[in-house]
Order: sequence, then structure tokens, then C-alpha cells
Amino acid sequence: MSALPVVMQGVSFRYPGADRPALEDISVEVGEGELACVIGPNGGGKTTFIRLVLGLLHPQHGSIRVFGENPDAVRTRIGYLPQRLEFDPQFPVSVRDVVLMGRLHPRGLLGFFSRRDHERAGQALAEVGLPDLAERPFGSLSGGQRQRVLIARALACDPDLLVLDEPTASLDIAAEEQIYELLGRLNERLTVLVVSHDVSFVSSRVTKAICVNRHVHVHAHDQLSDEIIEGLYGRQIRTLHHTAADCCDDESHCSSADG
Amino acid sequence: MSEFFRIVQANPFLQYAVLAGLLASVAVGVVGSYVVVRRITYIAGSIAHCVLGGLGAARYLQVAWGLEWCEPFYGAIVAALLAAIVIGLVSIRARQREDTVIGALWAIGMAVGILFIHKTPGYSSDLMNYLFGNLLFVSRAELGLILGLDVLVVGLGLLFYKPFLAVCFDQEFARLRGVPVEAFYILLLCVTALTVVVLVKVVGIVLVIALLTLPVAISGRFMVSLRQLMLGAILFSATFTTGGLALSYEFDLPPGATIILLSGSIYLLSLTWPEP
Repeated sequence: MSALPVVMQGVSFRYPGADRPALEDISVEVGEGELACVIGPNGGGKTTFIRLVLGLLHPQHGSIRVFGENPDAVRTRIGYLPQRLEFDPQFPVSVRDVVLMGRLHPRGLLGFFSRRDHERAGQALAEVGLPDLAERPFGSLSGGQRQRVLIARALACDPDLLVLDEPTASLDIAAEEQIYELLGRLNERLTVLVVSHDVSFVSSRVTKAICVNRHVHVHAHDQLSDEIIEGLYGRQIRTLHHTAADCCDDESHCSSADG
Repeated sequence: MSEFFRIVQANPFLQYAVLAGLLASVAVGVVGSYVVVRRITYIAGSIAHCVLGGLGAARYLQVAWGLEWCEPFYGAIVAALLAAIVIGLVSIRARQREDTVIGALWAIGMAVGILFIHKTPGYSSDLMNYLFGNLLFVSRAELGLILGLDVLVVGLGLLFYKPFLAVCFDQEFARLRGVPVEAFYILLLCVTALTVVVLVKVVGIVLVIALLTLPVAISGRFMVSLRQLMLGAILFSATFTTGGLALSYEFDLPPGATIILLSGSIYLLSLTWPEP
């Protein structure tokens, strides 16, 4: 039996110089095929959580296992979409070049990309619904198209786990809806871990909500469907607040969760 | 222009100058593309000025201590590589103070050079030639040196096209794909340093900076991939160096400044053309 995609036990992480930990004593499991959503207020530790899973940060206490191994060792099995690409719109790079970067591998850094790499990149672009944009300059795309190209880059890695940090931040509602529909589709074949502000998304497709605010509280799927789905937006947040008293420190923080 | 080529045919001095410009264009087109897209023009400037420190120190050892083998050019290479590695490490370890260190090295490098020049017995005007170079005095050996640089730069560019592009575009993603990002970044800076050292010897500091940036900036107005950007920059640079030499010959002007002004005016002109 293959190991679970993500297992955290008693993990604490403190940034150097910070007076209190960003994350404290958190234990979380993400199972095969899940669509797990990380929610919580700004500054609550969502991105820290993701960076721990990616092995970009290392906890001071506790253990993190990704597919049963040290995150550093299995990094290349994760397809990753960063929260914000510090991107120069004039950077001379085509959509195809961007997706091909997902084909980078430590044992194949020399020379150019192979025919197989190009095929995989083409498939990934088709999967996100942008097969015709391969030759376009990346900088000329809309925000939603760029995000989908970056998801294609993550897919080109042939990942076993897809990790997305706020894929819909700064997108309009139509583009956002497309991204979530795409994630739902990808979840049919992949385990997905996504950071989101969008609580309505949390209620509709997600198997597990991981509420991060220094501590972590996990809501299972049925809990969510019972208590959240019928609720209005504001009530949903309050519902989350009630079921997870330790999730949010105070009301004002908590209501920023849908920002 | 056609008259210029007739004169070039008859004049080996000018042949070497034109050839040096064409050969240098290959290296500056490739390295300049990385420098511009990674936004490290300032780093290239800092490295170029640290070269003076290395030149001065080596010259001092040669004259004052009688170390005959210690050519100023070797000192320049050591200083440039050292500056590249220091800047690389600082920018990896302590991102927010990067520009301070670059500026400090820039000034310290030059100051060290001037101190050594002052302390070196005899007249050191040849060091100034290093700094400001002169295309018209390029020797056969120097042409060989630029050719060697081209082989190195193009070779590394082809060999490491994928990781260099990834490191310039999205460092964090490259790291997650198992690319040793720090090593490639420092390698990139070292290649930049070697390019600067070799070309400073031939064309001088100011022209090196101009050639690393202006042809790429013009090329960037029309090209959508890094490969195209490099090829375009090589072509523009070749045109500017040859055209600049022709103009400087025609009107009896200093070649370096003429090439810079030609590149600069075409760059400004290119800004007025609409995006393709």
C-alpha cells in the first residue's frame, strides 16, 4: 500500500527572529485522491503550511511525511503553483517555454527539451483548455490564462500531488469559476491541496477543509456538507467559527477569511 | 559604407577592429540577454569596476615585487570572479541588502585599483587603456581571446539552456524541480564576469555595459523567446559595432563613444515603434 500524500504530526514552525511560532503543534493527514482546501485568515500560516509540505521550510518540532518520505526527497512528485509569480511582463518567454519548465528534472538539465517533453507540455496545455496559445508570449495573456498556464506547468511535472497557493487571488469571478472547475476535474485523477480564501468553493467540492490560524483545525467533508452548504456566506464563516473555536483568534480575523 | 569596406580590406588595423566587434557581439548577445532578463545590469557594472582593483593589484605585484608572471589581466580575472561570487552569495543569503553590497563593491573595487596605481612605481597609463580600451588597437592574441570567450559562452548557453532559463524566470519553481538554483546563478554571474573582463580589455568598461544592455533592449521589443532575444541582440550588436566603426572612421571620432551613441540613439528610436 502506498503511503499517504501528506502526514504531519505535532509540527511547529517558527521563523527566525519571530517571537511566536507561525504554526504550532499541527497534525494533519491528506489522503490519496482528496481535494483538501487550506483556509484561514491572512497571516494565519497558510503559505507557511504549504512551504513545509514542499520542503522549502523545515519544522523545528514534529514530523512531516510526503508519500511516506522526507519532503525534500519527493519534491519532484509535487506539481506546484506559487501564490504570486514575481513576473516581468516583458520577460521573453512563450507559453510553451513556461509549461516546459515543468519538465525540468535534476537528472536532465543538459541540452534542450526532448520530443517527449514537448508532447507532455502540449497535453498539459490541452488539459487546462489552452491548446492554441502555445506560441503566444506569456506576458500577453490575461490573468486567468496565466494561472491556467502555470497550472499546466505544474501538470507537466507528472505530479502525484498538486499544490496550489491561492490560484484565484486577483482573478475575476468568471476566471475563478473556470479555475475551480478545472481543479475539480483534475481531482478525478490527482490528489489536490489548495489554499483558498473562497469559502463557497470550500463547501462545494472539497473533501477536507484545513483551517490554519497558527493552530490547525480539520473539518471533514460530511461536517462541511451538513453545517455549511445551506448557509449563506456570512453564516458559513460563523459556522466554521463555532465548530472550530481554536481556528480563529477573534471575529475580525475570522471574517477576513473570505476576503 | 561601401567605401568603408574598401578601406577595411586594405587596412589590417580596421580588419581586426571590425572582427573584434563581430566576435564580441556573440558573447554580449548571449550574456547580455541573461543580464537583462534577470535584471542584473547593475551587477555587471559593479563587476566591471572591481576589475580595476584586480588590474591595479596585479600590476603592483608585477612592478613593486618583481612577480613577472603576474599579468594585470590575471588580476582582473581573479577580481571579477571574486566579485561575482561575493555578489551571488549575498543575493542568495540576504536578498534585501543586495543592492548595497553591489554598490559597495563597485566603489571599493575602483578605490583599491586607484590606490595600487598610485603606489606602483612608474607611469601606469596602460591601466587606463584597460579601462577604456580601444577597438582600433586590438591584437591578434586578443581576437583569439574573444573567440575563446565566445566558445565558452555559447557552449554553456547551449548546455545549460534549460536551467538558466528556469533560474531567470522563476527561481523558486526551478528549486522545486531539483535545479541547483544557487550554483547556476553563481555560474551565470561568473560567466558575466569573464565576459566583462575579456571585453573590458578590448573595448573598455563603458562600451561593455552599453553592449550588454542596449542591443538586448532593442531586440526585446520584437522577440518573444530567450533564444530569439539572443540572436536578435547578436545581430544588433554586430550592426552597431561595425556601423559605429565606419562612422568613427568617416568623421574621425573615438570608436567606443561612437558605437555607444549609435546604439543609444537606435534604442531610443525603437521605443517609439509600436509593439509588434
